[in-house]
Order: sequence, then C-alpha cells, then structure tokens
Amino acid sequence: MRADSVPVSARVSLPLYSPRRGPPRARDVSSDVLRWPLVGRFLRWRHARTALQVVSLIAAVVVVLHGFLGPDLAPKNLATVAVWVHYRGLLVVGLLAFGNLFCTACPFVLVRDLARRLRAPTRHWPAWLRTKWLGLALLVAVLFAYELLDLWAHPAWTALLVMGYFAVAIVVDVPFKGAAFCKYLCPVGQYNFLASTLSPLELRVKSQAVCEGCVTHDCLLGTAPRVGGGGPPRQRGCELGLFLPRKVGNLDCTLCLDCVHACPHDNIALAPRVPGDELADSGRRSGVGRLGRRRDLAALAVVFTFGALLNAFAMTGPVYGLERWLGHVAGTSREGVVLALIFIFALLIVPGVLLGLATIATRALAGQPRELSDPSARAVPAVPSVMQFVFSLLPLGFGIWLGHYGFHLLTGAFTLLPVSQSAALDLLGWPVLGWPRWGSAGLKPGTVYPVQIGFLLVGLIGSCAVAYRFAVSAYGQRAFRAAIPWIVLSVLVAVTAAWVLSQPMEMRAVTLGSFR
Amino acid sequence: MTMGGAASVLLALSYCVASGTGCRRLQRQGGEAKDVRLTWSIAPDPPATGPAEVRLALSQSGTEAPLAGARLRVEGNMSHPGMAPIFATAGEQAQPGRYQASLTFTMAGDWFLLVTGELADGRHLARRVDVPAVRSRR
Repeated sequence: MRADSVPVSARVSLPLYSPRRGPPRARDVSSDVLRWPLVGRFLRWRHARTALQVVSLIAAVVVVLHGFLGPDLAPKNLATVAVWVHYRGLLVVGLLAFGNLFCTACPFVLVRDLARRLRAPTRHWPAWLRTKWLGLALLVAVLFAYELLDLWAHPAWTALLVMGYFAVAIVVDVPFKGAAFCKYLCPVGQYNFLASTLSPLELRVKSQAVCEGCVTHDCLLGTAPRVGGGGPPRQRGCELGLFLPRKVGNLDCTLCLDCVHACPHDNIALAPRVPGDELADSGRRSGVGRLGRRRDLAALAVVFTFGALLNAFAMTGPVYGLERWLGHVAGTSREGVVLALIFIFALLIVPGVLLGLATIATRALAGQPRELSDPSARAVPAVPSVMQFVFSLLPLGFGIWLGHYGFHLLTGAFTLLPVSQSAALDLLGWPVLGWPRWGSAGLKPGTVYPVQIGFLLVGLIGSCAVAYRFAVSAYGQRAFRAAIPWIVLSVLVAVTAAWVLSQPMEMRAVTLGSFR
Repeated sequence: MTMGGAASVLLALSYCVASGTGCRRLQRQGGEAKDVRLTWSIAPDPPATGPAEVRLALSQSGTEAPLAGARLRVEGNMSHPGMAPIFATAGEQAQPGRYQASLTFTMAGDWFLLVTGELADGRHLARRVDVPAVRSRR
C-alpha cells in the first residue's frame, strides 16, 4: 500500500498520455550532468541537497547574527553586503549558468523539514489558493518594502526579512502537505521559477518508453515505504506536483532532485536545452497547465520584467526628482504614498497599456491564433492564447536583472572578504579570518556598463526569438505580423532599460518633507 | 550525527549565541569623548562626486574652547553596501581646533563619514557625520 503522502487525486493511476492529448513531444537528451564525473556524482548522492542546504543555513545564521549584533552600517555588515550585493548577484549568475541553484540549496526548506519531524503535515493546500496570485503579491510587497524601508541600508531589517522567510516557510509548510510555500508563496521562488526558464539545464526524462512502462510513478508519488511498515515514502516524489514524463521546462521546478532519487529506472537526466525554449510551448505541461491560459503566471512575468526596470530606475538620479514632483502633485510628503503611485504606474498602468496595445495590434495584423492540429504539439485540439506572448518578455526582463544585480556584484565583489573578517571579529571577538583589509571593492562602475548592455542585448534577442517562435507555432504564415508588435514592445523596453542603466547611480534614501 | 541532527544543533547554537549576547549591538570602537563638540562643513556644497574638502572643528562642549593637537582619521562610506570606503587623514590647520581632510567621492548617493581619532589628552573620539545626496558632477 502506498503511503498517503500526496493528494488523493494523485494516487489514482495516472495515464501517461491520452489519445486526445497525444504523446509528449520527444526531445533528445544529448548529455546528462548527472553523469559528469564530480558534479554528477555529487548530485546523485542522496544527501547532496541537504549538504548544500546546511551550508546555506550556516550562511543565513551568520547573516542574521551579524545583522542584529554587528555594526549598524550597511557597508560593514554581512547582512546587507552578503544579501544585497553577493546573494542577489550570484543568484542571477547561477540561474544563467546552471539553473535554480538557490532553490536546490534553500535553507528555509531544510528548517521546514526539521519542523515536520516534530509535527507532520496533515492538510492539503486549499484549491482556491493554488495559483500564483499570493506569490505575486508577496513579490511586489518585498520589492516595495525594499524601496520604502531602504532595506539595503539597514542590517537589522535585512536580518528580520531573512527570519521572516524562515517563519513563513514553517507556518505554511508544517500544516500543509507538499511544498505549498515554494509553489504558491515564496517571492524568491516565484522569481527563480521565471528566471530559470532561461537556464541552460532542465530535469527531464531520458526515455519516454521507459516511463510508459512505469506503473508506480515514483517521481511524483515517492517510493513505497518499507515492507511491513507504514508511514511516509522512503524517498519523496516531487512536492510541487511535477510529473516528469509530462514536465516541460523549469517552471515550478526547485531542482530538489527528489525525482532523480525516487525514479526506480534511473530515467531522469539533468540535460542541456535551449534557454527560453519552453516559453514558446503552448501545450499542456505537468503542474502548470497551458502557459497561455495562466493569467497569474502572465502577471508574474509582467512584474518580473517591469519590476526589473523599476528596481534599477529607483537607484538613479531622476527618480528623486520624480518622487518630489509626484509628492507635490499629490499633495503629500509621505514617501509610502509616492512610492505606491510609482509602483502602480510602473507595474500596472504602463504594462497594461503597452500589453493591451500589443495585443490589439497582433489581432489587427494577424487575427486569431490557429487551432493546433499537430499531434507532436501535445495539444489536440487547442488554440494558443495571445496572452502567451507576454512570456516573451522574460528573456529581456532577466537581462535587465542581470545588468542591475551584475553591476552590484562586479563592483562590490571583493567587499565580502573584509566584511566577513569584520563579522568574525564582531561575533567571535578575535580575528579568526584575519584583520579586515580594505582595498578595491571590485571593478570600476564605468567598466561594467558594457557588460550590462551585453546582458540587455542578449535578453532582447531572446525575447524577439521567443515571440517569433511562439508566433510560428500559433499563427503559421502570419507569424511575422503576429510577432512584430511584441518585438517592438521588447525593443521599447530594452531602450528604456539602456537609458536607465546609463544614468549615474545615486544610491540614497529620500525624505520628502523638505519640498513643502 | 545525521545531516538533520547537525542542522538542529546549529540552530540551537545560534539561538544560544543570540540569547546569550542579549541581542546587544557590539561596539568595536572604544569609549568616546562625549563632551567634545564636532562641527563640520564640506566643499563643494552641495557635495558632488570627485574631490572634496571636509573641514572639521573640535571644541569643548559648554566652554567652546578649541581642542588642538588631535589626530583624526576620516573614513567615508556609502549607505549602500558593496562600495569600498575612502580614507583620509585630517591635517590640523593654523587655527587651533580646525582640521581638514581631502576625500574623493567615487559615486553619487548617500554617504556617511566616520571621524575617529585621539585627542591631545589621550581620549578617543568617534563620530558619524551624514553626507546625504552627493550628486553626480555630470
């Protein structure tokens, strides 16, 4: 008997595919990182994830301690330096070069797992909350709090934010089964899921034929408990509900490797792929459904892209004049109100107008998408949605995040050493890492600008390619006419981003009281 | 010990350290001469990126008597992490109690200066001076 560790509906024997849906599209696995000599061997180790999580947990504990106990000076405190400079930069670089590494090494999930040993979850996450809307709201809240509270300048508040993440992960995931926190709530997770659609690696099955012969579906349900015992599976399956034979891309994949360890046929590979390829796929995918029908995911993609612009713009000179002007027009000196107006404008009004115009233009130029009749597309019959064009913005959005976070990482990379030395001195009372020596922080800002523009250009090319690729599958011979409004939109966003990145950075808080 | 057990111990240890220290903020700098008044000005004003002159004046609170003979160091930091600090030594001027340091602000934004040093009578001095809104020259 299989343990009741997953929703009841998932325990019903699942068809691999139905005649109506058609077989999954075959994709070759040209290489498998899990077979590489050192890295692959490590990742195949059952405790690989735990090992990475312990390292992350240690780092998080040190960050929190120094945030509360160290100097209240952002450039000299590990909480602010490690989180807002190095973590953010390494996060996006890791996503670009490998995949969702932070989720692999997530310390919040480790603590949650420990808490579950004390109290096992018994409930299922409510069906009406199984969307990304809450995660979207939390992501916007974090971005807003970052600007309003100048989190980058406050070590204690940064430490509090980290502790808040731990608390929410425990509060949500201890009562509820699966990984509801990861899939529906975690702002960092939602960001990582979207960015990982541009990652070069993906967990997928090696052979569909092997999956067709599998009746236990361990990748999703976990392996059976030991003979004679009850209780949870010996190896859990995917807590985010991704069934590997029908999984497409990296959305909702935390790279936890549970499926790899659970699969009794060793049929899962960490395989290279074309970054962004999944964004043009309009077929149904496990755990997500049809991308073009997911308004919540589309809204997340909008926040991801326009939020990148806003986050970068908020650190430039012109934003302070804009805030003073808005405060004057709105008749308020409260920064929260002014910031809220900027957020509404940048994340709601501007995208709404631009995306609406692009949609109207596509319909006017190319009409409606065609009904897909190609069985290999896994959607028979199905009509792609124009809304899926929104996801073509993700490569450009990721390019902007790379440009911004990459700037801070490249110009401040070397500060981690003296700040760590200071933290050791502060926390332990003796220079276990040596006396802090300040030299160059990193690259000069002027030398980083070409790198930023490079990220932007690659992102723009990716967005144009995804838009056109989707248009080909959805519009056939009308592809160019369908895609051109979205390509123009991407160019417009890219030009705006280039202007923002060219502005002299002015990293400061704003007090509006002086203008009246 | 399993991985999970190690993590549990680590969490418990962290809690003990945080509790034991009473969540107080550690002070790395020594006792301050609290009865010393520090006034300052900066040129150019408003401050901008590039070279800047920071003028400091030390006097005794209450009597306003200038305090000469201090050895002062100025460390400039941005409020945003990830920037290298800038350092300068403040030289004493002809007028007693007046000191001047030359700094180069490397980026626009909010800065703060840490003025540290020793007074002629051996007492330590440590003050923070906020220099907000350093503008870009271009």
